[in-house]
Amino acid sequence: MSSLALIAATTVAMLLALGWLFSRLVATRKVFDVDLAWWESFRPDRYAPVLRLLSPKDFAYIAALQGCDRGMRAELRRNRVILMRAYLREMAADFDRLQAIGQLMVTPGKAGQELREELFRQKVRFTTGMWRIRLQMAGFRLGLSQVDASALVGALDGLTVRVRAQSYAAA
Amino acid sequence: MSSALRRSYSGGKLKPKVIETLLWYLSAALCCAAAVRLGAAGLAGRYPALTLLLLLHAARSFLLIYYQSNYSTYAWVYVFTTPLMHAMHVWAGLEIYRHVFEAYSGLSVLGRRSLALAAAAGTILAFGYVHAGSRVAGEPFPVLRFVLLFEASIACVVLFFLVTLIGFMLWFPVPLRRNVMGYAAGLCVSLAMVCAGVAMRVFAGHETRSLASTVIVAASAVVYGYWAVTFGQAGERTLSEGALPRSPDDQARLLNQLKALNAMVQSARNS
Repeated sequence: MSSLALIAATTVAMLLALGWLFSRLVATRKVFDVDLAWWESFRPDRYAPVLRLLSPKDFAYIAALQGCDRGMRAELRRNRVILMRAYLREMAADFDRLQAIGQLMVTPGKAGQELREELFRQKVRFTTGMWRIRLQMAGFRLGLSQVDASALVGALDGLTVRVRAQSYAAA
Repeated sequence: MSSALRRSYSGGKLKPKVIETLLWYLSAALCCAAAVRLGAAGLAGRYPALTLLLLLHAARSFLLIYYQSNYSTYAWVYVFTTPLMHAMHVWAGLEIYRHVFEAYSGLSVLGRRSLALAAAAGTILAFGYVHAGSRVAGEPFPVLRFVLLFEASIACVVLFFLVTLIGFMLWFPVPLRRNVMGYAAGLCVSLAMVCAGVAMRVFAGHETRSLASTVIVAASAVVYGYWAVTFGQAGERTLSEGALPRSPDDQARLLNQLKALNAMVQSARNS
């Protein structure tokens, strides 16, 4: 391949990458169209099950039951992992909605420095928590590790409390 | 592929020099139009770097058009205005950063250290580009190559900085105005095409000068045209307005819902 062709191909790839980045950026704006019904009905405790979905106690209890064979235990683990993934997807979407509400409050004059810092801190906490759980789930499927979702639930709880408090303070 | 491209470009009907010149004039005119549009919309004070960039670019283009038959003066004007134009690009990049995070001015992660880190990473990338470019043999105009590589290295650093900024915004979305989004998109495309155009001229040989120059002015024309059409007061609204449930009515409704829930729980206990 001649250098001109290589440069042309690189340029096209660069423009496509820029187009993709900006289209993703436009798509992320949708999170700011916050649904009031969602805000009124949202309770973080709906995610309490993630704390024990993959709890070893449950699996130990099931394993101790009469007639529970290896296939059944494997099936249970598989189903629980699928459920956990669905919960995590929902949780991430709700966390993004909460962040969006918080950030709409951060626009000049509507919220203080504390909320700005809190939004960023909780985002870091939630992102690291999510990656930790993904790794733990990979280990769990191989029987190597347990899953602890407390940091993730804590980040969601913390953000909900902070945003609700700011919402009432601003009212 | 490249030989076919060269043949179609340099041969016969397309008349590359005419196309290049027409695009150059069009780019200068659209640059003026974008500057006028910014001023007319009352946005010149809000986007000083962009306004000055457009004005200087238009002035430089008209000066170069005026001196295009006098090669020596043309070359000196080009060489002396290049650092100024690229200082404007740096300022424009910082202006976008300021607009994106104007509500987050006190956030520690967005401080000078992070800015310096992003710029340093971009500089490493630019250094690689310049290093490779300066090793290409057979360059008949070494001074011109030096100027072009300087141009491309600044474009590379600012482009990397903006792409890093976009990456951060994808992870941590903040409310963004349409004008800022258009400003960033236009600047990114313009800088990317400067990098690509200079790469063509430096790596593919000086005979591609006309093609490289056409690519850069065509991209500039598209970007200035886009800015001339899209910039306006309406673009100062955020891309999604959103709605916050924090009016007194909303609070009263929420409290009534809580009361209703409490009453329901109480009656369930009593029964």
